[in-house]
Amino acid sequence: MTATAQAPELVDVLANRRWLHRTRPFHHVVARDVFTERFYTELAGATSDLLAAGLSDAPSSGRFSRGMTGYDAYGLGITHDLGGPFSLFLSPQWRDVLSDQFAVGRTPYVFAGAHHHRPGGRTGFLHNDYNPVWFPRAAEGDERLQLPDPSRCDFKTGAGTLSEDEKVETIRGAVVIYYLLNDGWQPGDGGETGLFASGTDDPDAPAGRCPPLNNSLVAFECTPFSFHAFLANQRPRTSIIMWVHRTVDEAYEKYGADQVERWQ
Amino acid sequence: MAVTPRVCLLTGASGLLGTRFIERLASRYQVVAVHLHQPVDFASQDQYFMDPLAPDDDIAANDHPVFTLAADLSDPGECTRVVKQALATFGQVDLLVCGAGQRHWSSLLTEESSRVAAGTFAVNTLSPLWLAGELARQAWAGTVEENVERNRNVVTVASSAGVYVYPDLGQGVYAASKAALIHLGYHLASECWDIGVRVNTVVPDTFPGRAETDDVIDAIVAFDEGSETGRTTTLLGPS
Repeated sequence: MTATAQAPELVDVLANRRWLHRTRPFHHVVARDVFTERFYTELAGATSDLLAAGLSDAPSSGRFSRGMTGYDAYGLGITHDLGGPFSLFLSPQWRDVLSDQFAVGRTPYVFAGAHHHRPGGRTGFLHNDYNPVWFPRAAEGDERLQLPDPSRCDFKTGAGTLSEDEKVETIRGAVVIYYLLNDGWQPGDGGETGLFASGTDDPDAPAGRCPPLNNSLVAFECTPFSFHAFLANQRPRTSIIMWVHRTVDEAYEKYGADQVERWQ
Repeated sequence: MAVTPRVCLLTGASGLLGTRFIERLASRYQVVAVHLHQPVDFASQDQYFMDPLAPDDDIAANDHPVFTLAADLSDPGECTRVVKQALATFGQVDLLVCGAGQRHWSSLLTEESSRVAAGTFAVNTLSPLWLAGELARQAWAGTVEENVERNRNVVTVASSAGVYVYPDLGQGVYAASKAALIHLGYHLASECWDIGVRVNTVVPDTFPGRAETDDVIDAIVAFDEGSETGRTTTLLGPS
């Protein structure tokens, strides 16, 4: 993979132009056969290469590693340096598509990562993703989207070496989970993304289940009501997750400042 | 003059057969799509398609939305609710397609077979009876002439496992429920004759694979368009 790889044109790699908007238990979008077979193969191959480096139970650069509180997945941040087909998920086009599905104002602030669950993963806790996230402030005129940089600006608190003017607090606006490398998944294998009508629902009885079928996705606006959880899995599950972020003003205006789910 | 579309109450709508049925026939019928947990992948009263690259463009797949109802058909009360809601929404049901099915492969001598038997019979055998009975009591019994005029009918989807014994595959409970469904169809046809409603049964081999899903749908449509009652259409794979 090369760090200089450019994101493909979405129109060239998007195979499914009919994404289904569902309103229950909350507004979300599902789509199958999302990308062309060729692009899916490229993406799956690149992800397999990363998985081949092995899983780490401690944070480890360039490897899937564990470190997310309350979530037993192995994660790997997708950066511009990773390049290759992953660059699609950090492209303005993909940001625009995700933002526009839910009328989230476009900003340059995004975060993407790959997740892998070993078999036997437990059902996660119900959460809504309506969280604040800090970024280094994007430079004027920089076409590249801005990613978090925890070495200078803590993702959750903004603490770090940057001055107030050099960083910005945002609120997660929408998320997309794209499933890949889950060959042969069948109902009963688990690993779905469960959707819930409220935060007090039984985690084992979701109102909706989004199966981790290869080359499919689920996306939704992050709101005070978008409760979801990873459901226990009997076989490995792999996905790519990406968030777009909205301004604090927009989030507060739409849902109120008191609704933001502050990090514990 | 606008022709009132035929209203089709379809169970098992998010399954393989139901999905293909809607794909092919949503423009022909006003489909009331009954499903369990898995929602249908079609436009409906609360879901729609959008082109991610051209959100303002019209999409043909939104032109014929189905009306979805989530229901557990192993509960007779749910069958009552489904019929009531379908009639309240569309005023009529012209075709009932019983495509919902439940199957568990296990030896009859295991605890599992005993555990799942009641649920399997409830969905596979009794829900067609409950739905047809509710339709008769809530609507059809009082509209005999209209039933004949609109060629109202019921089509149930059984299985060749209900006719032939495929031994040692763990199909006992499932096969018995389908055999009972076939026989129920004959009796339903006899009794529904009096109210001008036809009842027929499609008996397919495994689909897709040994039989084609589209052939099963063709058989359903042929019964809907025809005038027969108390008949079965058997679709067997290569012997």
